[in-house]
Amino acid sequence: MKDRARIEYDLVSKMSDARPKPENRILSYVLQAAFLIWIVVVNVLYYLQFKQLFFARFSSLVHR
Amino acid sequence: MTLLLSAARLAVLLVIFAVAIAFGSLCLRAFRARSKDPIGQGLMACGIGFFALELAVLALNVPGWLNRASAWCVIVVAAAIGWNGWRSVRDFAVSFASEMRSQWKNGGRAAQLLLVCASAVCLLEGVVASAPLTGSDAMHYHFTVPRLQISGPLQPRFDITTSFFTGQAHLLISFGLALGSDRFALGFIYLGGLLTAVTLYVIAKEISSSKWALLAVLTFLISPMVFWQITTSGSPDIWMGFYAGIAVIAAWRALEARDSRLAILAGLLAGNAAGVKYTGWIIPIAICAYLLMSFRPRITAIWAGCAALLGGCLPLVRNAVWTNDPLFPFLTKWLNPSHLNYYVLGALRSETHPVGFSVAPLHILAFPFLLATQGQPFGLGQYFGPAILAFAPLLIVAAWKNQLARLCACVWALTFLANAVSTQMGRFLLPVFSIALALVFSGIAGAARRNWGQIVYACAATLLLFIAFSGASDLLYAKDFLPVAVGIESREAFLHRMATDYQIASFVNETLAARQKEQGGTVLVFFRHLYYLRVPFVNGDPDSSWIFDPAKCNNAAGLLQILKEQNVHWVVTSSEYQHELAGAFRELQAEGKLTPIASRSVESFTGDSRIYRQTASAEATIFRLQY
Repeated sequence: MKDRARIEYDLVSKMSDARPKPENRILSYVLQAAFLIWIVVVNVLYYLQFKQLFFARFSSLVHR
Repeated sequence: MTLLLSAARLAVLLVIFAVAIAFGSLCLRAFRARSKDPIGQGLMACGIGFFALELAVLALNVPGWLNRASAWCVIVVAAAIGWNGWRSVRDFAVSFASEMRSQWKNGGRAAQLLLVCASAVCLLEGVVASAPLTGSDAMHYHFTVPRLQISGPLQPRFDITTSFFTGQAHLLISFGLALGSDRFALGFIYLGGLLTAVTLYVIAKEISSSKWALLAVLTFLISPMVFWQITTSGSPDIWMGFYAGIAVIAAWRALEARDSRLAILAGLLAGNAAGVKYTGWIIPIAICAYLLMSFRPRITAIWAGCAALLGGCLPLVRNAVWTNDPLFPFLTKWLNPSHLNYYVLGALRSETHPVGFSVAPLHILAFPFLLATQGQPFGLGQYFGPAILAFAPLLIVAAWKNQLARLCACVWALTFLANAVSTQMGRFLLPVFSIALALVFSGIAGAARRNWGQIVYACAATLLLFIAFSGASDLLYAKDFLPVAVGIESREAFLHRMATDYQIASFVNETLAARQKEQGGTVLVFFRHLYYLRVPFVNGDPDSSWIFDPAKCNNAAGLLQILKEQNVHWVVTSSEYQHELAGAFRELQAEGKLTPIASRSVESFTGDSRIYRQTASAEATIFRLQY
């Protein structure tokens, strides 16, 4: 009986080790969200700088 | 026929590439420097082989013996000396082919698609690179100076101040021109681009994974900066990227194997990167600093530094001999103040610094953002794409346990910092672009390992968008060069259409070629693009000519004295005299010393870049000068 309790305890503790700790999971989500926002913002700002070139190309195509 | 000729030139380049590897392998064997990876070993051998080739070209160039026959002799002699190294060429080719085959077989659909796309981009770049030279800086000095210098003993050209900026990679341009065509020289630049892509693959594969490495290579090759630099720009800066890449690989292998010889070799290769351009000296500094911190015994880093000096000192020695200033003209103020031309120095400073240049801490902090998101004034930083800035935060999950990642970070960080505090020109970061890409891809691989699915999708979407955008931009850009490259358009018509100042250069050639042969003398010109001038000339533009200092040419007598020293017989103007010298020239005209002999209406590109297609017409006039 004592052994069984020991095995169960080991199993539960191993499972809890395998699962990410709650605070790490939250940190991971926050980090992912921040990275995601950063990537989107950089992309938007990057392509915005070409707007005049896009308009110039588009208008030259239309006028042609 | 045009395509056949291009294929023949490519075959010659491949032979030279193989000779470089064979000869370099022999040198590495003699130095007993060996890396366990055959691709890395082949790349290092290639770097050493091309360095040896540059030394041979310089040795022929100094007395004026560089011509087609001597260039072929160099190839034959190097092939014969490197006979025992030919096995390394086979090893390199077999290893590279088996690596690509394994990617194709084991990498799945994604790897196959990436390989097809990368090959298509390489092919397009190869075809565009076979068009005649039209790059602006190249027509001003990258190609003009080697062309002038191979026609006689090596001499300084003070009328083209940027001639002192030519470095060791320019010797490859000289070699290509000596082989008979500027297309060979452009081919060397294209080859440098492909070799840099291979170094990127080796580095990225080690610190990320095979698939990410392929994507990094495609991102590198398709980025507008690399596309422009290795095809039409005519600038050999990409060779700095190759030497920086193999120096990093050699230093990493040295750290892994605790091999002092490889560390010294890394220094020599990094010195070669520095030998291309002044700004490249930060690369050996960064690599030697890292070796000093991580390699034992520390004295090896000092030896690596000495090897770097040896590997990159040739342009500095040349400039010191000619001007007393190894970094001419930037130290002339202190080393040779009596010969200073403040006007050119000011013009060079404004050309190599953006309008908003500042070393204020806040501006330095904002620089990485401005470079990517408002890149136009910051040396065309936008041409690198958004990947580095967008993925930079992922560096916290990069493979930092790997020595190679830490070394790359050191080289990138120091080079970027040096750029931020000195010039803030994005274009000058090209040599470490591949290293930065490998690093951020290591970050993406780290995110993938942590199962950050959404982040990996966002990165993939960013890359797909950029590849589509760059692919479309590159195709649009290539459209102007493809007709001449495939033989639909004649060279003359193409140059008439695309090469800035070609019309005025042709006018001068047609009018003065015969007269110059009869009477001797030189022609004074003020336009920037000098490559297609085929009569002896002197550049008179005060912005770029050390000789025509407005402080000394502000009256007719002073100007006439300099014109006499330069043996000028004709003066070419475009609509108006150069405004800094206009007063003195008008005085000469009033005195009857300048008589117009021919004029023609010419059209040329104006503005910052020909992609905006701004043109202007002007009346070019040739004056006969009588003393």
